[in-house]
Amino acid sequence: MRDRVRVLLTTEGTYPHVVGGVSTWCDQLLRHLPEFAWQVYAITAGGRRQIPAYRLPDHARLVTAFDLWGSVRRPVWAGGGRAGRDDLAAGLAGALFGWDVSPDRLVDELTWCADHPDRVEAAFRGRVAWRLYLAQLEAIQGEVSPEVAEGWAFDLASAVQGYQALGWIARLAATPVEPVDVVHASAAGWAAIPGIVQRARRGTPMLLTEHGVYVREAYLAATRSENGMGHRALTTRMARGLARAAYRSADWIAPVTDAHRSWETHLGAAPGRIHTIPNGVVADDAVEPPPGRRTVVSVGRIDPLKDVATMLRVAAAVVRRLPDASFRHYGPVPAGQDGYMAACRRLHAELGLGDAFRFMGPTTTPMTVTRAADVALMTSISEGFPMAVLEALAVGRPVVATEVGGVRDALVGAGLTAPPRDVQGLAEATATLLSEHELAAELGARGHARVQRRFSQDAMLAAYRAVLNGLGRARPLAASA
Amino acid sequence: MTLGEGLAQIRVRAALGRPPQDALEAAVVLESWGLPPAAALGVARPDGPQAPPRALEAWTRLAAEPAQRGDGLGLAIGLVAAAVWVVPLVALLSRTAVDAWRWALPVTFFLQWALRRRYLAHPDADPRARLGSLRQGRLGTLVWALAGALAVSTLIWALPAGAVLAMVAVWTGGLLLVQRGWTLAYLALLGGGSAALALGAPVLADVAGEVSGVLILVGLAVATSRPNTRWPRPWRETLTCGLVGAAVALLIVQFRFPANAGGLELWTVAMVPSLLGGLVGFWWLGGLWPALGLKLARMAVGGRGRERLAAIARGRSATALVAYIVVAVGLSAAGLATLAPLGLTRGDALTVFANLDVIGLASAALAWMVALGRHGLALATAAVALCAGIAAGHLGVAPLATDPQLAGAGVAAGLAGALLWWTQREPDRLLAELR
Repeated sequence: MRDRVRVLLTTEGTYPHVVGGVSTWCDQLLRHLPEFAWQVYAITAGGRRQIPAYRLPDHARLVTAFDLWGSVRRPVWAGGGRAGRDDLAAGLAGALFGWDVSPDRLVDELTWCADHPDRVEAAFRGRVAWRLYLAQLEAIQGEVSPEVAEGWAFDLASAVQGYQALGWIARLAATPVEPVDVVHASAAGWAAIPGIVQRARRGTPMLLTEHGVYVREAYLAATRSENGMGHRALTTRMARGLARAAYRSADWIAPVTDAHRSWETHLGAAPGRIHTIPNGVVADDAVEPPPGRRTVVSVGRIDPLKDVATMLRVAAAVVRRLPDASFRHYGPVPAGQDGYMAACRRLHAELGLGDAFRFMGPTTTPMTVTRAADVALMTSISEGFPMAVLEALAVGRPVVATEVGGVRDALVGAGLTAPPRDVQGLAEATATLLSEHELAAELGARGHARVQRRFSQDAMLAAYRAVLNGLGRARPLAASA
Repeated sequence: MTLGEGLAQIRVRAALGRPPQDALEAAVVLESWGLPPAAALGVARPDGPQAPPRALEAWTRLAAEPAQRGDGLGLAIGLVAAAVWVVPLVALLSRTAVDAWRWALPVTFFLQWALRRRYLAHPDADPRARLGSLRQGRLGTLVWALAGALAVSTLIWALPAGAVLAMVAVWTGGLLLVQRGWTLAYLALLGGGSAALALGAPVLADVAGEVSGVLILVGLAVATSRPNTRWPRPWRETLTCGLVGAAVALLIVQFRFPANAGGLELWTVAMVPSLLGGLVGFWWLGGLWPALGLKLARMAVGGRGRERLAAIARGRSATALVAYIVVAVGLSAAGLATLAPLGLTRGDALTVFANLDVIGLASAALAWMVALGRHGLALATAAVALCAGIAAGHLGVAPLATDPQLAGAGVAAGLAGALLWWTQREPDRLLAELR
């Protein structure tokens, strides 16, 4: 038997190119589980070369960096001379966007792409392919389901975008992957595609870790958007189609919190395959009390899901009450979020926050910057089991956070929570902890103890070690595949 | 927390300001209100019909963006400056050097079309970022090495053999400087060099100085650009476009000047109308995507009116053609009147202007074909046109004895026009197939 189980970790907009909670989790796995032969398959978007933010350990290597929408290097497998398949786009559309369709259809379509990589490019060119695709969209619009509103339609601009997106999904499915023993997908979306294909073609087991519920986050983004129904349907149904196929294909689904379970089972995941593995961190040996400078630190990318706008309003409300309070936010601006960053800066100016709230840029030492805080703040509208909260607890800092995902589980007795977007509730909690030093110190100490007891890095690594060994060694290794 | 289905619907509608699209969207809203996921998924239902399609934010924004007229003007000035620069140069060189432009032009066009396609196909709005792609890793080193080698070669080989390299360097460098927004610096450098020649400066020193100056400016332009990590277009596409450009240049260099046509001075002046006409036409064509996008965003799949899309695209192309003709023919007419003192017959001058106007039209049509993603078709069209021009020259079947390339350019313009008309019969598909 092979010495080391080969694991393909697939990521989407995170490791190793973007700093953040999911990337930290990936880095923990790769760095502290050297007994596995790790390969990383990074999917990014934005049409630009991505610069790694993390250095992979020696026992891991980046095997594929697939850039959606922009990586126009024509791979050798793309061919071009072979005839396409006129109904591929229509088939993918039906399998992804249809409401009452079996997820197996998408698995079949993706597998076809992997089996015929030289026919994928041509399949998205030509009059017949386009017309079949439009006819399929019309058929989807006409579906009747008690779960779907009536009287809506895709607009043609969304149809154009959908066609291009399907092309990228097909290219991703057609990208060759070396045989491995386990595919570990870090999200139930684009990152799951290589796993779905390998599961169907080679029987390679698939482990799916879900940090935030992929479908839920797509709906949150669509709900905020000003676009019409056609575009909302396109983005949300694509997420739903990918997630359902991922849940169907995964041998082991590991959400980071039990809070995800309802969504996953609702979308077709077999309850017996869902086993929560919470995130874990290395806690400080001893807790030092908060410095008492009325400093609030938040760590997270600048993204609407993190609701930085609410954070700014909370800061304004707190500063009105405690003028010497200061807020420091650490986090990168991901590709495509420049507009949101600009909007946040405008709001910062409108609220007159000045130096009381500073955007500090990305950090590679979140625990160090959090140690300088009296209170850690998180205002996300969607989370899994946020690393920023765990890291704050690990250094003994009290947390004020929104009640999303697994936050409530993490914070029992160690912080204060409020519903998402509840500016007054979050501001009240923050001001209270900044004013009541003893309470803040006590909550911090409780949180620290809780992390050591329940959410240690060792516990998390042990769980993944067991799952990966179990999946990777339970079947004949794929060396001959 | 518990919630009845009716109350849930009211709550969701109030939060969204519209009915939810499906049960999952309703569940997300209910969850954010504080309902546990299982309960939210249990009571969430769609509610009522949806609003008609609305324009996507991206398209609306694109349509609202002002056209970059300044860039077009800069390009025109740069092109004219580069063309004018060659006049005093060749006037002071031997016949061999005069022929150098026939070699230099295809190489230059190849490089310009290839560079434009590979690195400048989606130029950033900020000129400071446009050349950033050239700074990437090994590519940046390669560009620097090539530029340096070119400069050294020019100086070592001296004129007239180095004239080809000098022209290639100055013309290709000009494209990069104009893209960077340094048109005035480029203009000043070439103007100064031409003036120095006129005042009796040694040709070799003058040309070497100008080539070095352009290369230094290009180096500075690249080095001071903001890093740009945008993926370059694929090499196959790049080379195809380069070959299309080279074919257009070969159509031009087939030109046989009328015996007393004034040589390159006339060629240079006669090129201006087609250049400006092409810029105006392209500026108009550039508005197609936002206009089309807005239309598509308001049109439902399966709804009526899709057939009108072809009319929109073709209408804009036709208007661009008219704009080209008005500008090119108008300026050519002005040029004809201006050149009378040079002693040209009206027929000779007309031939020169007509040739370059038709070549300009063919070039613009091929460039539009490339912009629509039909690179192979553009190359095939250019190849057919080139063959037609050569055949016409050899067989003597050209409409006028001196202009075999008119036949080639005419074939290119006609064929490209017909293919463009045909290609734009389904603009939504054209857009969907673009990468």
